[in-house]
Amino acid sequence: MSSSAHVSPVARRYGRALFDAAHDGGSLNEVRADMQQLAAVFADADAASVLSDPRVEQQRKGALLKSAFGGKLHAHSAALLGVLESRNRLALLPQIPAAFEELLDQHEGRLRGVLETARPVDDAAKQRLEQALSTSTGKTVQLEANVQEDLLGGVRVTLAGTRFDGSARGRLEKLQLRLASVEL
Amino acid sequence: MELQPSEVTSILKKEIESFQAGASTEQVGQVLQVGDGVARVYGLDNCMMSELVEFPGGAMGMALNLEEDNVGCVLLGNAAAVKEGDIVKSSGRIISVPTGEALLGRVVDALGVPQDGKGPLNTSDDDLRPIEQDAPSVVERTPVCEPMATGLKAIDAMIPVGRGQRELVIGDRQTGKTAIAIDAIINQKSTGGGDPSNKDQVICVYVAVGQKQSTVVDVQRKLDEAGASPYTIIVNASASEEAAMQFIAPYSGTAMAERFRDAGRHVLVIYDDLTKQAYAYRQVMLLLRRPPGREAYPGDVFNLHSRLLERSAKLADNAPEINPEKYSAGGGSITSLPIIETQEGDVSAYIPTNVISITDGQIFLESDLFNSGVRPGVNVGISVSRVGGSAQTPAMKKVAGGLRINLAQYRELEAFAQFGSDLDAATQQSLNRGARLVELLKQGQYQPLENADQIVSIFAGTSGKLDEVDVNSVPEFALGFIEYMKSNHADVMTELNGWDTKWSDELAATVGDACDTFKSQFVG
Repeated sequence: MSSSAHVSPVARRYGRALFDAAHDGGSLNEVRADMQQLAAVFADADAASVLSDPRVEQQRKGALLKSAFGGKLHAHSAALLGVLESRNRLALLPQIPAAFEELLDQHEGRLRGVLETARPVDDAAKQRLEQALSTSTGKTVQLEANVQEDLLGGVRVTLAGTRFDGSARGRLEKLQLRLASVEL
Repeated sequence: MELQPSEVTSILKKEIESFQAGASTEQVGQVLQVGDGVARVYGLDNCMMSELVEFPGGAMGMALNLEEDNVGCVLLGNAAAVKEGDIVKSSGRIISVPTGEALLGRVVDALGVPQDGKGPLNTSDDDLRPIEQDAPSVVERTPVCEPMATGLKAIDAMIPVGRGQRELVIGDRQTGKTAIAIDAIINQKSTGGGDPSNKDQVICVYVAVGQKQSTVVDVQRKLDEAGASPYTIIVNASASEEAAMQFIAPYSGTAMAERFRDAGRHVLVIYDDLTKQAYAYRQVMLLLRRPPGREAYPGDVFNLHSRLLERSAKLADNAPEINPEKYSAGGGSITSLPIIETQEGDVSAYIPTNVISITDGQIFLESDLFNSGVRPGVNVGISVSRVGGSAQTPAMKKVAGGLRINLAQYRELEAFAQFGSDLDAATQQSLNRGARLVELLKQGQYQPLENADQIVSIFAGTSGKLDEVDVNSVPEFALGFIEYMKSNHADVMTELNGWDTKWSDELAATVGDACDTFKSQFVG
């Protein structure tokens, strides 16, 4: 499972259109920077909720966005805001950076995953793990490190919907199942 | 067996020493939303249709909607513990249930988990069967040819059910639908003495869907008392269980029955009742946001029942040659008695018409008849068996031939006779005969009769031997006559119990004479 939040199919469609436009126009890096900027802004739940607030008129939302980002965005990103406004879809905007990022990852052959350990891991260990996973999957693996104390020890990696469980807790659970099913 | 703590310790120690846990990999997803027994899961990319998925806390689910960006799962048990953000593991296994002889005499839920407190089933993974299976193909089948006796005169004589047939039992609430099913199960004891290891013993599966728990306990107790438990499996998805459990229970029960059918055994399956299964299915499908159709049922509610009932079939003797992987022996069958509950006798509602059109006939039960003391309250005028006639024993066919016509005439004349006072002799005679036949077909609950018993008592009625007997004494006379035949003409009764016995003139003469003799002794 990717670390990004759930993206609705409609947002994914807009993200795909933006990605294709940026790809054909050769502006992937600029648009990517824009999207990161948007993602940072909408990480704040209040900012995102304004866009889905039905009491705020669509034009007002558009004007707000223009005043906040006007001139700072690449033409493709700015056009996206215009399209979303004209189609009454501004509420989807907070999800589009994630959708764009997913497509960019696919394009660049990158897989994002989560690395969970009981104690913080150093970068060298993380890189070794990323390296090993990259060779086995054939893609560039990027792991986000998380500390989960209830794992007790070992590591657990979740990558593209698959969970590799090498944690002490996982093994203990398996042992528990095994012992519970022993025939006496 | 005495168990020493030290032994347990040493076994566990051995297990721990031999335990090797490498890293495991599994497919996971995350719960997006959950409520009303339905969860939407993000992830689970390689999930299969009807795959079993595992929620934290031991709750299981079944994937039913594979959508673009999420998987719709129905929860099976312990649904309250599932919350948003939970990690869901896929099991890689289509939903299956344990099958085999270990289930006989047990009460299990729709997933095959015992509910009767008699301990684990001790079945292995090899005994698991997916609950959804393809129905036997055309070449693997053969027409219905053997009788599946219910032990009820009214049914075996006029609406005979054959092995491999689907015969619908339909009626309002409180008309004795379950009673017929229970009697049919109890009557199967005569096929193999109640011993499930006997190849001839018909195995029974009683699937209770959306029933009161007390009703199921009652059924179980009755079967126990009648000695029918050893060859019966009860699959119980009671009214308090999740809707998903209620809608899969009939498939689970059928999967258990198929294990026996494919080994050449005969099985009787009761679905009690499919109306409630349709309710449960409707609930689940609406929660999964599938579009509602007529009466808010989803569009595939016909298929829900047709694919279930198509699995009831009579297999050809050479089925193992055609499909050796599936069948270990030929000639097996699943007979099903689906039950449908109507509202105010309305058989033109959606589900009743669907199931009527799928099944090979129906037994209509009416409140008016039931309440006026005609029990079982079968309306013989509109009840039919489309294929059972060829499965009736020749003797029964011959003796019961005129029964339906006689009763139909009686019903017509009865209505007519209420107007007029002057009735000619022929009409009077028809009315007399009819009234006695109606009395004759009454039968107490849990008292199934053997084929020979039914034949001689029906013969007494249709041959006119009962015409001089007082109407109110007819049931008593019939029972007495059966006893008389058993003690004085045991050879005739044995002969009549045979499946191939023809109703010869000699037999008719013997039984007729015996009836006259008994009548002369009978004090009503």
